[in-house]
Amino acid sequence: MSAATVAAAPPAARRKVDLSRYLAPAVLFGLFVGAWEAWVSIGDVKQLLLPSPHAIVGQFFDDFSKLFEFARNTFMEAFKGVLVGSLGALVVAAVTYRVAWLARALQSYAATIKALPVVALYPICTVFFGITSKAVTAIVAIGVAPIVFAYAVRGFSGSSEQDELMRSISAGFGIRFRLLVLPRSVPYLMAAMKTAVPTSIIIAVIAQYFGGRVTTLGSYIRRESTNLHTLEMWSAILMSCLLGLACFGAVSLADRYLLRWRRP
Amino acid sequence: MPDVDTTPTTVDTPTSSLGRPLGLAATALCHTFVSRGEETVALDDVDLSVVQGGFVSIIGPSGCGKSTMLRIFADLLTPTAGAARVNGKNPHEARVGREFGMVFQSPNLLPWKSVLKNAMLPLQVMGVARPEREATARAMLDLVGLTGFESRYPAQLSGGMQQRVAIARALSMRPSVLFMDEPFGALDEITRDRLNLELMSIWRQLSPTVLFITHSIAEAVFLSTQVVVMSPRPGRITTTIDIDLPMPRTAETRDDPRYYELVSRVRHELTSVSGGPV
Repeated sequence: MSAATVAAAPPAARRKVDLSRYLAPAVLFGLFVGAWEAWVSIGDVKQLLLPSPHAIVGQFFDDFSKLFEFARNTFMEAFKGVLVGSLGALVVAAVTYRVAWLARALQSYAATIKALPVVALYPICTVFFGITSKAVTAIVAIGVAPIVFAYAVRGFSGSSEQDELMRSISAGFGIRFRLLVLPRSVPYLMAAMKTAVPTSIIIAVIAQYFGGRVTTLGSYIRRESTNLHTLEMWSAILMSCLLGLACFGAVSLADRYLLRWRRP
Repeated sequence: MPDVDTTPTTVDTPTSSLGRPLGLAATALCHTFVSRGEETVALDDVDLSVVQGGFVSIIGPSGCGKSTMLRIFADLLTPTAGAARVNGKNPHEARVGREFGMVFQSPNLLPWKSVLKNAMLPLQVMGVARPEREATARAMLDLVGLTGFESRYPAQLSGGMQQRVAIARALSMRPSVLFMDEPFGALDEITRDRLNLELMSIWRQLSPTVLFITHSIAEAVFLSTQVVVMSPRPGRITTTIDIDLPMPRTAETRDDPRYYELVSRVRHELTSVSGGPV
């Protein structure tokens, strides 16, 4: 049918980055930090109560190599928890999504667990694993699994004409799952990761605060807080925030790459 | 309830009254949907014969069972009674044997796969080696005029181009039968006319048996060797009209007085089954 060939594809237009959308949050953040700095210096607030932002940043750079090592350890404990929790949730979702009543029942449990302060279960994990990395990994896994499960079931069960297409070309269950169900659920799984990964850092830091390896951010924050080293505590909190943001940024980048087919 | 014929079929392709083998055959086909305890007869005692290489359009008001019939032939529905045959085989055997390709109303492309990978999908499912499936898919994309768009994603294509990919995908298995369920229904008139011409060109080159569902009288007359008119509630075939327009069909076919006569005839038939002007 070369009779009416569509005109040759033009090269895809280069996307322009809209900087104006970042301007308002940046200005707001600048105002917040400025007000904090002014309040501490004009109001003569004691460093023990609230250090100034510039002092926190200074301490952050002074302790950077130590904080970086603690952040890496915290990240690894959280990452292992996300890995275990997500894999477990995916397996359970893959096994149950075709049985509607079972998936619904498990979703109810997942919703309930999501609403609980999961980190309160940390002492139970320490009973099984001791005050170790494994206990932190376990509580992170317990915390993220319901999030991933809820999104995965929604992603897997999306029924559409695409299922009929796969049937019409005689695709068996395994091929259908690999070529249709799994890729179709990627937007849901990425949404799950955007929630689960920052959550995992929060859970890990809090769990470490209550007990864990000494070379982690949570343990360090507790130690410095107990010793009234407020500046050191704040610099570790800053590192925790940066770690959470970096993880969210990495997931967002992965999301942009994996879902690039959505962009017109 | 009458029996449904699901027996395996030996290769005994039925023939038309003129001795030509049949690509599609339905005998006393019935289908009833049950919803909230209420029965709706979608198809009632439908007989249909389509010779191999024929292009048959089914037209009728909404709810007359057109799509139901197509879905029975495509093994997406099991009839309540009667038998359907695709190249002499029951629909299940035909589907497993990949004897037919299907084009849906929406292009139904996998949005995360490129145009090329979408066109390769049936061959990937069949386990065809990558170089071979890529060559076939490229040839089919060329046939539908999409060379140069292989690496694009569906979201980057117009509706008409997406439907071309769907046609290329259906053709990639080299099926002897093509089921098309209102494939151009969502397109604008100009795109639809152009795709009609392109479909005619493909049909001439590959000669599949085509069962085409449409709401457009002009489209049905332009494309088909036969137009089947159906009536609703219960869905029945009321008339089969032979379309004796000369081949090949071109843009000039639409200026042929005979084309207008046939359009007018189909419209009258539809008016009588719908109980009002169409």
